[in-house]
Amino acid sequence: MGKPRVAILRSAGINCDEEAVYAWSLAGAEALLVHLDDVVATPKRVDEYDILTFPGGFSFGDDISAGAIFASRLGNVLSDTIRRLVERGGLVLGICNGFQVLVKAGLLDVGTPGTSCSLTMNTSGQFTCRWVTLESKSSNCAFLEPNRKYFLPIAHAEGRFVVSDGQSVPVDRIALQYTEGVDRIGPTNPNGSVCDIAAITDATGRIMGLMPHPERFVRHTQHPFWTSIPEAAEPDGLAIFRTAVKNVG
Amino acid sequence: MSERKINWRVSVRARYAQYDAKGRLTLSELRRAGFDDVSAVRATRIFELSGDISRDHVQLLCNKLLVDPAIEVVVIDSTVGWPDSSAALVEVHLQPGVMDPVALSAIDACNDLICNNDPSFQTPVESVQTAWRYEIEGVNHFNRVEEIARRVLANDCVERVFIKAFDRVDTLPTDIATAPVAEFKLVSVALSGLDDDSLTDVSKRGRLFLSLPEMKEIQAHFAALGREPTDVELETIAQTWSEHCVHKTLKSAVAYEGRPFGVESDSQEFIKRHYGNLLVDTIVKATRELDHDWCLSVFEDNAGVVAFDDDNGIAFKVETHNHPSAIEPYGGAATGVGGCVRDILGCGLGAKPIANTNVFCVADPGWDDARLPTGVLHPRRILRGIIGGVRDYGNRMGIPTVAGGLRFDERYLANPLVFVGSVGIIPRKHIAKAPQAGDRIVVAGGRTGRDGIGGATFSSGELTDTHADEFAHAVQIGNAIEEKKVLDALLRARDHEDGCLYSAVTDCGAGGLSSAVGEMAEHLGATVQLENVPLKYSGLRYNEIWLSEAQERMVFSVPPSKMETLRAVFEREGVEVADIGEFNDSGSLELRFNDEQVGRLDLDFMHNGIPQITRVARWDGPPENLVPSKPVKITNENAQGIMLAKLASIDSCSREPIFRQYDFEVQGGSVIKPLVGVGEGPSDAAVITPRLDSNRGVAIGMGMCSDRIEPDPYWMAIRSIDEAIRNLVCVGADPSRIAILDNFCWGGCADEEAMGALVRACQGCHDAALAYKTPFISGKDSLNNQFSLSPDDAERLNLPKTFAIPPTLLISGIGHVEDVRRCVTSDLKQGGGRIVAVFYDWRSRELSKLPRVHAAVSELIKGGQVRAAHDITDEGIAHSLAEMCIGGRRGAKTKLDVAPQKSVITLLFDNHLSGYILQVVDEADLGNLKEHAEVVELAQPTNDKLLSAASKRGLLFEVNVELLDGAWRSGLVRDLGERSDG
Repeated sequence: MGKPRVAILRSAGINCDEEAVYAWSLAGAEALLVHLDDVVATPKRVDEYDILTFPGGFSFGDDISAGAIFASRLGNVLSDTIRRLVERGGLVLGICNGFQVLVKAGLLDVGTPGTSCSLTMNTSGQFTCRWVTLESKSSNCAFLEPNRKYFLPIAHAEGRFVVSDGQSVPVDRIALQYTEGVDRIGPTNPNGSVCDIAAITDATGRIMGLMPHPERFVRHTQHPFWTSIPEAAEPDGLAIFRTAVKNVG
Repeated sequence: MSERKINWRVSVRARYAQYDAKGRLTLSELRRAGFDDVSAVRATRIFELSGDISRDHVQLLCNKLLVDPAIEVVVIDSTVGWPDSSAALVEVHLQPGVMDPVALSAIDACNDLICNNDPSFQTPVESVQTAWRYEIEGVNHFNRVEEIARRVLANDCVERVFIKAFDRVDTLPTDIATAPVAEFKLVSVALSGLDDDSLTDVSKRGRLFLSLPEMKEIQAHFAALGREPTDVELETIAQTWSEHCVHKTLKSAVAYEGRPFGVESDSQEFIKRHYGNLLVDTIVKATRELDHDWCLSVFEDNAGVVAFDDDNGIAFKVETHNHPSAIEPYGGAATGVGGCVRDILGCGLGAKPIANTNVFCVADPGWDDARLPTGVLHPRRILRGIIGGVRDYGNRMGIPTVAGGLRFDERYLANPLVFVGSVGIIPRKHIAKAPQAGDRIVVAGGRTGRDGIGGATFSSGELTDTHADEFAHAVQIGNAIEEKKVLDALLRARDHEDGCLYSAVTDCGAGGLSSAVGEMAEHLGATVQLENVPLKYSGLRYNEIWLSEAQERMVFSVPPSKMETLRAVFEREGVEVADIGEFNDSGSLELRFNDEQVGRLDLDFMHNGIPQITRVARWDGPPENLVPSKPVKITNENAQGIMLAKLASIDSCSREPIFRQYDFEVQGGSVIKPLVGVGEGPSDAAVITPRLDSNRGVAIGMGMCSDRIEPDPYWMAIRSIDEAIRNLVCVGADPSRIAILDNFCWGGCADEEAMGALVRACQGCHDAALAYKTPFISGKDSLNNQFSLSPDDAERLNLPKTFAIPPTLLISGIGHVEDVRRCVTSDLKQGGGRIVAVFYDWRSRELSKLPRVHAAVSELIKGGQVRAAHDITDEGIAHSLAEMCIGGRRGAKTKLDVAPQKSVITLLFDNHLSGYILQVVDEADLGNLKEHAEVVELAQPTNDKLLSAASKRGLLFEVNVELLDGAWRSGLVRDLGERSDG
């Protein structure tokens, strides 16, 4: 098999598209930017790709709420396409604003009938940019190594994961949780998410949405204290893209 | 525009209090502002829709777009009215004509949704406007509610407030707010025969801010033409000749008499010096003399450009947006960022923004409310507002905000300073641009409204207690997404497969189309059809269209053959473009509105007609009323307390509460972030990699010395430049490849002493630039930062009637880093080595040795001898060492019993020493350094997390690093910290 092909959906206000292209290409995939309007006009275009990425940013200004307008424009057009993509072994990744879009478009949920989920304003009430430690639980997520810790940056105002019926989220849907880090300052859970959730996945493990930005840690010098630590074999963000490339198809 | 009735009112609020982020944030704002009686606040978002919309449509919009079913509930009303509530209700609406980005996005999204669902509809939703309603519990008097609305919830220069509380029930508007419509009528201004007083009066009444000699020059010009100017002609000249646009003070001829410069600068033997053009004879002259081949474009474009690699240059621009931020901090700062980013987009054929910077100068956020003059916003509100504006604009545009500074001084109370900078990368082949006769004039981006009319002249005058009312129209709210779309479209048009689709571009800044088209046409000519400019609402007069500062617009010069391709590229990104005229070689600027000529200006007169005057400048010495920071007498007993207090003071504590709100990681290029080390200590400068596939970097650092530390502006300028260079050298930038920018903010230059201070600062810039071989590449000044208090206030508050800022000079530096993997941070590293202080004393008035100090430190860093490096600032050596301990979460034990010359206390706390603290490897050879600076073996790094120092008289301090850390992080928490829920 050749290099997996990645479509990175962009629209007005998306701003993490170029670093997503770079991260996928470092991981051995071939990534291209695709305009949202083209996908809405011709959803079948996605069939040419193995991986679909919803990158970060402030799509349409995050006006009304984060990702709401992007999700509304997307409507139902991708539901079938994404189902086909997953059935043939493809993957879908939503990062930050992309995670918000997946959730608000109804493409990713916690799988409990009658329970809706969302991402809303951090409990701090403001935008927060910091590095966090995460731990993977799910053993079937195509983007993650089970029971591994990841150190990645977050940068969001609306990253608090909430579910409508209170507290319960099925364990197999939790992809990443904020956890205690060795070397960090600040709250373990930076936004008040239920169950410390930073990422969720679908039942197949092939769709993942996450608030942290793996594309921002694919080189050693992006680490916040790289000047005082030895270079790791593989930056944690790059590991996520590589794992995905390994598991595609 | 006809009045539109509001057909539907959609009220959305959180299902549970824990999800009401806006309400809880407002409650904490109220508590910070002292409204302790308020027990709860609930916030409701209101969307008001007009158009041919059925209830089913509204329900659809709520289900799919406006409401988040997981956490929100909605009420849909077909009439406008207050809900039943026992709490006090306050609704905050925008003033008519003020930018409402949410409404703009919502209207398109609503129409899309309805039409996708029901294709028989075209654009059912005609208008959307948004508002916030607050339910406030716990207040017991109407006046209290009104005070809450005024001081916290709304700013009446952009917002309107409606209240239902106690006996008062305001009527809510039932129509969508619209701007008034003006009929077309060509207006001339009679100047001929007017005497001096009448001319001054014309300038004053028209808020033209033109001086008498300027008015006389204009009078003579039109007399020679045998006609009167039209209003738009006069206003265009006023904009073009404003201090904001032409920098006439800094470019004027100056006769200086006063103290000499250089090592003699404290002498009373006065000298005389004449400058033909102050800027050109000092700052520009140094750059020309240095003539570095790596300076690719200096002082001629919207930003300065230096070389980066074989294919690319780096553009840098720093601006101020002081007056708008004083009146509407959030909007003022946001549009300041937007304007500076557009300077980068409008540099050459367009640079791609890769980093933003900022510096804020404000009064203490703990300022006593009772001592606030009329017309002045509280410093806490100003600071929180400008941080919010800078945050939202930069974050939304996807530009990392990587470096910043914050300075407190009560003299900034009425005139806060907001410096915003932007860095871009530009292909070398796109640095040159030139509009051609025959090119179309194309405006792209946001639509034009009445917002921001008179921005340039407004910025050029002083503020008064009634300014917020008079100049409310000059204040705007930005729409970052519009500018992001323009950025996306511009880069695609620049890099188009057919070659760049335009021959020139510039941004619409203050002065709007008048300055953008006026500048581009300077050596050509142009005809503009003003009716072709896309408007936010109909009914603007021709002069409003021409002069509006409406945001997020750029002007392109487009060869006719490329028009269609350019239009297609922009429309694909959702950016509106309009062809509004043609560049020609007529030498004049013709303005037309439909079939009528409304103005015809000679471009040579417009750009070169401003009368030149010689200003007199004096400098006898620092003003007597200036109180320098007096060092407290430090003893073995109080040293520890003083160090901890300084760490915790707002002047020198951690800026983390600000940086956390900025996305400093976006674009993936950050190498040295605002906070460094495992302990997240302060960094000296930012380093980014503009290209993800390269290890070549750009370092960005700043310097600003207070007049309380250095009262002579000549040395203040030099110390500011030295600080910027030190900061850059600390992270690993090459000192022979640093370029700098100047931003002068002065209280006023009307009197000879203030002008003398400006001359000394300019001369300092010149002398330092030559000494360090560090060229200026761009600059900007703002010279009217004073506030006229009402006479009552001046007496009541015991403040000067004219309240002016101190002379303030920001130096922003940009450095080159060959390989970012060699960069160094300030946090102490594991594994020993020695900690040395390398420093010099400013009281020696010795500049010539300093460049060699920076070069020698840089050599050590390049040679891998330095494990940590930190700037010694005017806080003193102990403070810098403490910051290194915090960043590294490591201790240091000073062993200063061998300290030469000075006492240990002086060495550790003197605020006139500058230089570096270096953690070097044991075998480092410091011989070269010792020739140029004092070098002291300061301390040994330790693993016990204790910072200690002893003098001959015993222990000075011994503090756990956790304690230092706690103090350092505490300073801004009360005013800026994240809310702790209680």
